[in-house]
Amino acid sequence: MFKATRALVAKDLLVSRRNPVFFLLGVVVPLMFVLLYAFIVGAATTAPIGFAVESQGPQTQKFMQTIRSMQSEDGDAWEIRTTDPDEARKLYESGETVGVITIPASFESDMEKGRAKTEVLTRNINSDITKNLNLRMQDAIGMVQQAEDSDHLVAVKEQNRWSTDMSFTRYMGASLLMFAILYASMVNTGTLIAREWEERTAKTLVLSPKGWWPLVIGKWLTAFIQTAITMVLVGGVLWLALDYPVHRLGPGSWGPLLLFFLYGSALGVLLGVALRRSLPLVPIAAVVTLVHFLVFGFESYMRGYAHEGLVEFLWWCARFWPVSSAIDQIRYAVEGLEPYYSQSHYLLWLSAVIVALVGAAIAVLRKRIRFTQGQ
Amino acid sequence: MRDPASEPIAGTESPEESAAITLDDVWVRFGKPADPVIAARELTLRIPRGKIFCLLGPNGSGKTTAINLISGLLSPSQGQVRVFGHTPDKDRTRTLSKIAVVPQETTLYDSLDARENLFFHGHYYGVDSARLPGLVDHVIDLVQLTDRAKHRVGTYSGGMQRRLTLARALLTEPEALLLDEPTLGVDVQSRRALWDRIRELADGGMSVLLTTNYMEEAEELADYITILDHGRKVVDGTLDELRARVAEQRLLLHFDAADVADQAAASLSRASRPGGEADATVEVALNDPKEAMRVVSSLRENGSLGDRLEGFEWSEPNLQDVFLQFTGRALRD
Repeated sequence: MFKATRALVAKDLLVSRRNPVFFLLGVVVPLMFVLLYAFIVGAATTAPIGFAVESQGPQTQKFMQTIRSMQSEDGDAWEIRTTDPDEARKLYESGETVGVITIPASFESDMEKGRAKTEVLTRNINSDITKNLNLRMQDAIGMVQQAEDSDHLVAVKEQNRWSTDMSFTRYMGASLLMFAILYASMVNTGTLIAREWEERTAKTLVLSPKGWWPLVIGKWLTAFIQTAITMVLVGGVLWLALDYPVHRLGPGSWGPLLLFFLYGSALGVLLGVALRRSLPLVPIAAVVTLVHFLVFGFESYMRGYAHEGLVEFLWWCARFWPVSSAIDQIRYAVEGLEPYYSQSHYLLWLSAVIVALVGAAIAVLRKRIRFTQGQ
Repeated sequence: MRDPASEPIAGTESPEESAAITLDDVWVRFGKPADPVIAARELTLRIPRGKIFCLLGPNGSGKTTAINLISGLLSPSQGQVRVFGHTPDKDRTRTLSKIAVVPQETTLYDSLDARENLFFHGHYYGVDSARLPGLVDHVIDLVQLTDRAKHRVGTYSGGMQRRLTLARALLTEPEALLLDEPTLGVDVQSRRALWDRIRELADGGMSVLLTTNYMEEAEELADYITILDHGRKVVDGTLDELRARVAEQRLLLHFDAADVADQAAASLSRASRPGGEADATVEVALNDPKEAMRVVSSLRENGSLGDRLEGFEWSEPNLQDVFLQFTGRALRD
């Protein structure tokens, strides 16, 4: 069996090398997706802003120092392009910054009177940006006031489950890893199977006296090798573009990642034997993976926010589908956090789903092989 | 009629033992029990050792079903299949180590060359690694592809691909070869070359089951022929035995002009004009060869037609006549 399996892996890798279109599709799509998402995440966390500082004096300096020192989990809270009033307005008009925050000329005297104001000018095409700017300004003002008069301030005392917040990029990183491995394993396994029908060689493979195991293990091994190549490249992009700590993907992440590979492969096998064509398999795999990313990749994000309508229904679906828990497991493992609800059930459920998918694929395969003439 | 399995290869063997493959009263039903699709019914075949056994039949008659039953891809709903004493669907490993299947279509990897295809197949089917290089060279030489062995199969003609498919089947040194329409879509030269190889293999002791839609292929190769229709065996025997089963035989009358042929056709019962209006030939269907001389004599006695008769010939029925007689002329899906 070992010799037959090795022969199949060598043959499939050689065919993929000589006809690499589908292998490349399994690499390029996740890479591009991760790269684009990295740009979006980067833009969301470090939106450039201009400060029109029209005031001069110690209060203004203190205020600007506070602004500059503010941090979020994803890095500096502000990307200040300029503090020159004219330059700030010019950058805003040209669309190079999302807004202008004006420190008025009367700021010093207003601070002494206890009625200081700042002005926020923003293109409110997206309420999220407006809200974000206002919140950050409120936060900055609160910090200044705390420094001035800590005795008379109403402050928020946070009591969080974990000592540090998980950054958005790290939260997204686990979902992106799931996206990449699911898509790559689905496309690689599916096209490796479908190709046997396209080359009309499926029947010859199942007629080997060595039985089914070399076929099953060989296809899975080849898909694993090809998916591993994709994941190495995706890991590099995550590290470079999102500063994702790929080196912390330790043993705690291996189980979920391996399950994602097996789950994607099982979906790929089912698609491969059902479609028996590589080309339609690729967009279907993309849609299936995107649904997983958008629904299950954000399950813990939706938790507590999903009220009524479709989003609540989606959350319920996502909550009980074991992929969500497996993604969270990667997040906890990378951050070194203790899960706050039981994670063990997903191993059992995801394994059961994989077995069911493989069983369905074998049933379809046997039917195809038996009932069709020739192929 | 003589049963092919009654010809023992060695004197000590019983007819059952001499059969390489047997199907006994096999039924194959698909679909709902209340309204099943029947792919094989009461199918009984004896495929003898060292002979070429040909399965003929219209599309959907059950030829590929028979091959799927023998190779274990399909289990009989009823009845028994035995391949060298093994039951294919229960003992796949032993069955598949005895046989090789050449499917209906070319089943090679286009991006690999001939040697790469054969080496992969040999390793995948468990051929001894030490012997494999020699076997690959031998089978490539056998199908006359040595010069093109390092070219990618995608550049091969249809005939070359069929020859390579046959070579691949021979790599495992099977005792029986199942050929599902092996010369489908290949040119005359390649077909002849394939026929020569298949005959050599049978002469060397290999049992061959051949399905085909080409009558001349069966006439050229088959030691025994079975015609299937609607999943059922309708007739079997040697080529001569099957010809003898055809009731209608033909007398061809050649006149010197088409209008005379028209008159003759009108005056004779069961006469037709196979060559059309411009042709001067009349075909008369007869049940008994003795009637032929009576028809010719009566024409000779008729001066106006007899003087214009240039010649006549007695046409033996061919396999196509047999086929059409037993399966009809209606088109199949």
